Amino acid sequence: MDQHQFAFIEEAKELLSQLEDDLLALEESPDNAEMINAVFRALHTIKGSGSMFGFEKVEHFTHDLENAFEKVRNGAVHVSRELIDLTLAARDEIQNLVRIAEDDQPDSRADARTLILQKLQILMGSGAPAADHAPHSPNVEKADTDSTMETFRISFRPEIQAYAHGSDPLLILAELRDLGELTVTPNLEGIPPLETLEPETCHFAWEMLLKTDAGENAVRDVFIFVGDDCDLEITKVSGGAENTEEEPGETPIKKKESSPGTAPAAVQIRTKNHVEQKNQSTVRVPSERLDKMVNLVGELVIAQARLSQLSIQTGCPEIAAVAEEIERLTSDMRDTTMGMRMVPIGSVFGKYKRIVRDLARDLGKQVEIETSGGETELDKTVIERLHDPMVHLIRNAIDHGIESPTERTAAGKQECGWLELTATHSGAYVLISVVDDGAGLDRDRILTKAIERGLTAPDSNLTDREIYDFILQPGFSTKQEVSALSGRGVGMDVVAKSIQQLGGRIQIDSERGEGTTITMRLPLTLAIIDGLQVRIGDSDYVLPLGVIEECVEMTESQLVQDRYRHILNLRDEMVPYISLRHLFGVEGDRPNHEKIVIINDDGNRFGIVVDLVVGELQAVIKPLGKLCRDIAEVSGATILGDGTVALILDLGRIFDAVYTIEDTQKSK
Amino acid sequence: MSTVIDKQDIQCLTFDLNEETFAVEVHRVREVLDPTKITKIPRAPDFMLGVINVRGNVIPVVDLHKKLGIAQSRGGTDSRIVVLEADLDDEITTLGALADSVREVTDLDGREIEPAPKIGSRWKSEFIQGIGKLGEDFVILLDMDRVFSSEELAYIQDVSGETDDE
Repeated sequence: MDQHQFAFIEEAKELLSQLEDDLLALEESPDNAEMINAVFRALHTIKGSGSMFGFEKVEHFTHDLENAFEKVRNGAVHVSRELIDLTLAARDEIQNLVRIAEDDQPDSRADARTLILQKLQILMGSGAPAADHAPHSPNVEKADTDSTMETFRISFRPEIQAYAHGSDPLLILAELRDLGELTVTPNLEGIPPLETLEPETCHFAWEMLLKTDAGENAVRDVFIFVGDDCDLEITKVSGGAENTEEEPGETPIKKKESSPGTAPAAVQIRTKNHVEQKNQSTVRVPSERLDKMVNLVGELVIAQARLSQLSIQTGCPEIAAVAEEIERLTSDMRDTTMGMRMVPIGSVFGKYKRIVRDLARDLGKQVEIETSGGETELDKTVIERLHDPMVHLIRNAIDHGIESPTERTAAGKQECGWLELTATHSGAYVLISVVDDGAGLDRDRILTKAIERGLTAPDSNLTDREIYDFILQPGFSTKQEVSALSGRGVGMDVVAKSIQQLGGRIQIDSERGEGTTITMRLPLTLAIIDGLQVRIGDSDYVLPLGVIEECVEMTESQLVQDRYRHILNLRDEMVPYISLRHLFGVEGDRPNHEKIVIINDDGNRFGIVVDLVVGELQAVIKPLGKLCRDIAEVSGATILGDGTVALILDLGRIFDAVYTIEDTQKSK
Repeated sequence: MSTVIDKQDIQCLTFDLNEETFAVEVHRVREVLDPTKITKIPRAPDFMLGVINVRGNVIPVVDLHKKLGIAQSRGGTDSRIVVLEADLDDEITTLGALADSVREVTDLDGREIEPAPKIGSRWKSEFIQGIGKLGEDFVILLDMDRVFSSEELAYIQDVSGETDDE
């Protein structure tokens, strides 16, 4: 596969996902002409570039689809649920085609595609012919639309840089010829003498007469993607005028009554799509290059830390000034590079809409989905790895959470269930919630089961949240039991594990009969964090700065002596604290003046006792590797300015670990 | 990697652990480092000495004495960290192994390599790919993939109690 075909596949994937969003939006507002046009445009682009790069199957299928959709655009057929269903199915087939082209697999879905097209044609009303396997030809198209012959005079001069922008005017002419009887007269006036001719510029122009029954829309569509700077004039010479004046506002083409000689200013065709593309000026970069960039910035941050340390050691003011400058630049560069990896989560929320829609239909439930916070940005890697857990949670919510319409009515709820996906920022974390208004979790049954399985003592006093957390245990619930009683738990341990691997945590809130909220708390990025370097014994550790409230000197004011935990009186507030020295079994004597770092981790306020607070640093997160992967207290490692390794601590899990130890001790 | 040894010469790096000579295939070895500060990992298994920085990458260092069940030696100025690659569940992992001293890169005569004796071995024979001869001395050829698989997995299961349960 050559580079262009590869680019087409990438583009097609994007367009297909856009198409899906548009179709779902169209379902919500079926009369939105802009949406209909957007769908049409997406199809047209897929068809066009598909044919350009030799993806014939994609081209033909999309072409037939586009023909069917033409009726929707004309207003002859109204957007219906069924139409959206079919078009979404067709979209999936295009996706399949692209995928098999990419993986070079045999095509086994031809029948499915034919079926979709046939259904579409039935939907479009009788009279439409079966387009199934027949390659698209003018005949098919002619029969498809009203047979009023019209003649258009088209005057077309591509922009000078047309070749450089990748457009080939000949393809446009060929496409026009497909529409009907075309007479072309080249206009060679603009061509400069040979000695001044730049071979890569386009100086041709054409005057054309097109006799077609395809309607003006179709003629205009041929030019849908020529640049903004071309000269184009489309004039109707004869034919049923009333048919073409239905949507005058749609594109700014002025119609003039047969006076080609006095053509004033050339009329340009613009599509909304095009204007956006022009303004944004984006560059597509392969993600490996971005990853490499991030790695390099990581190395740079480490080198900068070494420089800063050296500058302090030498004490030379000139070097210190440069070191500071570099520190500032590195920090800016880090933020910019990280920013490049950030993707708004809204880009994947769209995908979930589709899943919700299809799943609800399959299960015979009514579910309305709402999303908020789609603009919240997350690291690309986090978003990619979030997909499966999200799908799992959504599936659970619809399958087991939200009841059937009859059950809902009986429970005095609205027939239509409600599912919300939200994303919000919270410090260095992003909270993503899946909220449903379904049956909720059965607290008592979960507790009974947990006791049965020996996960907790019968007399232990657990909060609701702690009880719900049991469903995250591997194999906690077998399928039949769970769907019968509370309806959750199948594979929830897998979800919990994936979120943990991302450095995140899951929190479950539920109200019997009211619904369930599952919140995932995820780090903004997996690559670099702001951290606080602390020392215990001869080892340095890094604490994520985002959760730190303050650092205080430890005074002899502790009250309760537990095994691991103590209580500190911090300005008349009781704050539990954890001695890392104790927890990690560090040998050696405690220093005279220990420090306490006060942490506020998702509402848990506690102190961490360390020997010394070294200072802030930018920590490039390095994975610990497979051998150390399952040490819960450590979320990663970073390299310090002196080249040694410091461990990054997962404070939330340290807190949990200490509590678990206490709880088990209590329950004994 | 398998324990089946063809009769070709095997190029190996040899090193000592408490006065025994061991060997690993040289293509497994990335480099040999002077001892550096090893960052301890709290609550790691005892054979895990900690992690070190190898040109920007954090790699774990293991104590082969503990891993192979060899008595601890005094350690000294000759000790080195051998950075090598092992195949942990189909994933190539780079790790360091602390050796008392590193000898040389040499060819072991494939015809003289014999499988590990089932009995009479002081070490866990499942880690041994074969026993070769270098002059009059025996050299124990280690199967690094096995050294870092069995117990590693046992450890993970022990700590987290996780099972694959979908």
